[in-house]
Amino acid sequence: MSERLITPRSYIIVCVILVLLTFLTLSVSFVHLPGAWHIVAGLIIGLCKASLVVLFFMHALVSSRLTWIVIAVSGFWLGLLLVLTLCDYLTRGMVPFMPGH
Amino acid sequence: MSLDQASIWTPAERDELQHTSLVRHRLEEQFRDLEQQHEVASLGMWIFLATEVMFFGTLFVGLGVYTYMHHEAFVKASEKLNWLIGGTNTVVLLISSLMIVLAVHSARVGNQRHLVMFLALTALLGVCFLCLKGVEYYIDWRDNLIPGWKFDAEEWIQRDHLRPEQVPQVQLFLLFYWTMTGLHALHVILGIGAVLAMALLARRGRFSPVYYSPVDVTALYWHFVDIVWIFLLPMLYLTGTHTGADFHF
Amino acid sequence: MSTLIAEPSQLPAPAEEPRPNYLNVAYGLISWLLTKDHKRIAILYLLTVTAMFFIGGGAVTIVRLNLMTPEGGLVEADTYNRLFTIHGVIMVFFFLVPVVPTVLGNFCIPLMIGAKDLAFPRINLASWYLFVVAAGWTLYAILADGLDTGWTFYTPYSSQSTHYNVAPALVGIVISGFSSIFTGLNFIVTIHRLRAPGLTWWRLPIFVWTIYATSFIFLLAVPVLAMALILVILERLLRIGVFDPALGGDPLLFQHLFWFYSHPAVYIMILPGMGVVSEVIPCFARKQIFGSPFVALASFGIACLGFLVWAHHMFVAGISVYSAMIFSSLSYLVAVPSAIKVFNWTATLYKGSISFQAPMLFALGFVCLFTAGGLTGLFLAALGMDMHVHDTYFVIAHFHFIMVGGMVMGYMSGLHYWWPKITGRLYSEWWSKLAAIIIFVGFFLTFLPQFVLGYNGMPRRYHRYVPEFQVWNVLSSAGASILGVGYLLPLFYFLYSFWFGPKAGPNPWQATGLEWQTPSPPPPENFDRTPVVVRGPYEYHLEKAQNEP
Repeated sequence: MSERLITPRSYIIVCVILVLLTFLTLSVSFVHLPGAWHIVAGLIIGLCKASLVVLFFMHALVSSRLTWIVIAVSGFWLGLLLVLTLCDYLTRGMVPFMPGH
Repeated sequence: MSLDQASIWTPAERDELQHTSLVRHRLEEQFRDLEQQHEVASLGMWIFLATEVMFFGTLFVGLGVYTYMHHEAFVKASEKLNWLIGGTNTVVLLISSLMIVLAVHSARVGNQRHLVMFLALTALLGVCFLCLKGVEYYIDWRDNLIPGWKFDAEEWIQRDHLRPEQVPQVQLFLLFYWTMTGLHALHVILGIGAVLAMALLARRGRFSPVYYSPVDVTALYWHFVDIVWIFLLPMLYLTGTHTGADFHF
Repeated sequence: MSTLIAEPSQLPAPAEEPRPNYLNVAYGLISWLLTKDHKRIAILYLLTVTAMFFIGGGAVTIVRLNLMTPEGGLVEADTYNRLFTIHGVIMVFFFLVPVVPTVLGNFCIPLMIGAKDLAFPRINLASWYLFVVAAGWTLYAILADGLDTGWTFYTPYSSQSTHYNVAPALVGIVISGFSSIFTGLNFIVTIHRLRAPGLTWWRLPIFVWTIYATSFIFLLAVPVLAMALILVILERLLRIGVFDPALGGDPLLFQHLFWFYSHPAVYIMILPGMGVVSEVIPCFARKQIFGSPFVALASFGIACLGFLVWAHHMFVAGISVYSAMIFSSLSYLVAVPSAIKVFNWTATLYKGSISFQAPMLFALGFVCLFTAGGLTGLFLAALGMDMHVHDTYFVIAHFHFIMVGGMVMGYMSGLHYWWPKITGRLYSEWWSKLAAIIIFVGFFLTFLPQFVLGYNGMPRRYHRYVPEFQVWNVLSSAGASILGVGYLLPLFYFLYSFWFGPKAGPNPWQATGLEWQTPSPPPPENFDRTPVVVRGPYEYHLEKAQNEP
């Protein structure tokens, strides 16, 4: 219940941008990109959309510092799980497992 | 019917309303005032959403790991998913998020009629999402995309030129598809229930500019469900390249 | 008597007329089962986790009896597997993880921060109901059909091969996970938003910091376990799953997801015990805790660093050597904040006026045994050493030193420390000291031989062993029987004290802390007026200055 307010006009503008970004995501998928670039593009656009939802629709822009910390920590921790797990999969077979050598 | 802030209550008016008996009994005894109660409710929901991030995130991590390991098969499988329905559903959820945030705004300015209307629209769009999902699931059934139940291995070898050992990997991808979209749909169902409950309470005049934290908190949950879908779309539907030939119903 | 509260008029009047306290304000089963009072919920949890402790202990009694002879034979191999699974599942998920946060945390946190209750009292009660349902369901699933996967549920055995009905037991554990999440959420929000005026973060008792750190881990780790177990449940029910190698799945992914929770879980288990010890040692050494901000930050540091080390449980499972090296290095790092705490407790004792009541005996036992166990963890963090001792009794001894020697002793210390506050009664000093000593001796005898066994190669989870290990196994089982006696004693003298013990006043230990400024047992609303805090939590040195000429 902060005193600062996001106006309904802002909400509608953000929603229009979100829908446009959705069209962008779908359009990019029709472009032939090599390898994993579709995933990268999709995730980047997805992050933009999610940020807009969090900042404007979920009022993070006018929320307390503690709310920011909760958002940052949850994103960071998911990143930890992903990165350290992938760390195993991406380096398998690089150094042969030979106990005793 | 204007949605602007002309009818916002001043802090003094809000304080006065806060102390009338109409709203005082909504105050729980461990809180100092309604404002602290609202702050605490919001913080509680944000923290719950953090746990949901880790909950759904685990599935994303699994999907990410296996997409790295079996890229070709996963991309081929992804191209079979119905991007049109998936994309439409994304827009449906985005608009429903707009509806519910306008509902919160209406609660804050004390416009009960708009509050009920926007909550009802949110629920309606949620149901619309589920209906489209149902149609999509039917099409997936028809197209043999259900591993362990309706799946044709030969099809993937002949039509998509996959090697025989890649066909089980397609099944792995589809498992993730069904699990993640199914779990998401379950969350949408629960969300619709919560939104309808809020609409009913709003209709009975339960909320006011100084007490609307249940609506606020329900909206946060709804936005989270929307965000999960925002990430499901590219990771499940759009990892490969689509062509015009993919357009089908 | 130190004054934490600014206005002396806020101290409660001497108890001449009987005041309703949380125990006698309402009678009847319904008033307990529908309570919103955090103190009553703490008692409900106390009863439930104590029952689970003795069930888990009963299972391992049979295990240790079976291990008295090299060929086993007391129970069949299959039954043996089910027994150690019961022991692990119950002790981890239904005793060690919940005990201190839900019993001592629920009771003390609102009192320690000057609040009337937790932020979400109904969610607190819901959390207990979820726990009871989960415990009952899991017990039924394990005892009726059986579970022989060990508490770690490794795939593909749990998801495909075992003929036991894994899915129901896992459902019970997922439900218990939700109970934990609600508890953690409640504590975090309460500690952030319901502190009394003047109670800054640096004036918070260390126990509150450690419960906060524990709740932090609950919230970020439990959902990952829940999802991992749900995937195994789905694989069992649908007979097609994401960890199935035949589909291109990787069984090791389950281990990654499982240990992402289960390693931080061991910090969930130990941090509250560390918090208890951080309260007890200053009180019984009459000295301010040494380096309080560092102890506080180290608690949070343990919580954070604990998330970075999980794959040290998987060194021989097939992860890449590079990632093994990274996780090994990170595992060494996590020892640092624990060491900081141990050094600070020791420095607190230095030049203190130490008295050896039961809480202090347990706390000193904690410091000694936790340190020993923690040091053996460093052995295990070394890749080369772990190759040799992984899945042997060395690992079992390591974690029991920390869990039993550390955590259970920490819990006992807290229970003995706050019992007068919870019940308003004093227990027998002689019997409690005897129990502490019996537990300490029994513990050593049980688990020290297991280091020898493990180093010499006795594998864990085996119902039989080679004859040259018998001496150590017999010593260990004998120790276990002594340990059992030690754990049964408190049941008697605590229950006796509840009805016949002398009344404790508000502050029998002359301790600082807001919880000691209300009557024992506390009234339902905790405080007459919200206290205002002007000083730090361990101002024992001020009392000393007052008493000196």
